[in-house]
Amino acid sequence: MTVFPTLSFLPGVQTLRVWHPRGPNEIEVWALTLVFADAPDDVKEDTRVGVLRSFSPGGVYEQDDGENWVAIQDVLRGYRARQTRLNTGMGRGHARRDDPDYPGVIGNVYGEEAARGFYDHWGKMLVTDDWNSLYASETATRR
Amino acid sequence: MTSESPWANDLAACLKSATAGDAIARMLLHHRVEQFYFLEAARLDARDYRGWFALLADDLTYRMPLRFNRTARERSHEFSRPGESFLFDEDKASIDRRIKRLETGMAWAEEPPSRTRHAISNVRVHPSGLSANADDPIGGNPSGTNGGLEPAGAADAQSSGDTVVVTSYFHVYRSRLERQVDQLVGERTDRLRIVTGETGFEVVERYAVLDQATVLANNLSMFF
Repeated sequence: MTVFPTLSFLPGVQTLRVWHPRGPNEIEVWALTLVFADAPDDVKEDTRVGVLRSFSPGGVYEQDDGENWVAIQDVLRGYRARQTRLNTGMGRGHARRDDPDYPGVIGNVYGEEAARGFYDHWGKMLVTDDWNSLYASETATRR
Repeated sequence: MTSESPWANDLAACLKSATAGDAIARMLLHHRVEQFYFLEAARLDARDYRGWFALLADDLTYRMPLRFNRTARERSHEFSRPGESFLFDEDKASIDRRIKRLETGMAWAEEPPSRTRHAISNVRVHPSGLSANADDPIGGNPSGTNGGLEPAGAADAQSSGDTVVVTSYFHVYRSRLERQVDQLVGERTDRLRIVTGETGFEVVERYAVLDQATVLANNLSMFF
């Protein structure tokens, strides 16, 4: 899950990260581990070790993620990719706006509702003249 | 020194003589440690991960701290400390799981595999059990500058007659796919235990520091 534009977290894994663009073709990742303040010490230690072994530069999940993200960007720089519109349609039409507990638009984690929201907000920022107008338009799209 | 030397086949006696200051024993011990490191490097570079695993002790700790850019007044916090986050903080079981992952053939960060070359140099053996670097958490001076924390293993650094503390430099060249090249350079402080068997040692503790603050590779999918 991402707080626009560059703060992400993985629910259940307790890792938080900030994506720092470092110019074309480079992103620097700051990854942090969160522990519950009132957890017992052994639980905090298990969390610390569990996160660094899975989601750190040497972590067994992150190693593959690093590979995949770089490879995706390599493909997107290709001639054919540049002639093609980006498809962010996964799960389109299956989001809900009437969840009793959570505001806004809710989509399945395996889907691109978040990507659609990300680019939608960015697009609005580009064409809206001031912050108040931007907030007004954002409020109008919430339930 | 001839092949009839009792030290040639008895590393424990060699360590004892080296600790007592015998120059020839120190040289032999250094040679045996270095050959062990070259064997370890060769197995890693050949991707013989199980062969490398056999060189690790069952009570292994394997750690690589985070490293930060600190000015003088904060230099004591250049490296992350126990309880903070690390790049690696492993034991024998977690290394086993990492190797199992590589053995699935679906560890995409290593499929197709990287080409690595581990150059190990600047090997210094500290037969007294203490390393020359006061800040080393393995074998460092207990009153060293690592935030006043008791270095791991310092309590038994001198009492274990069969272990030796060694520092070495590593220069790991990693080439991946068509054009990706990464160079991971740093220093390892190890505690090695003398064992029977032809390799002579097993790695009990490894504390490796990387000479980068921000990790400039897309991953750390290699062992150090």
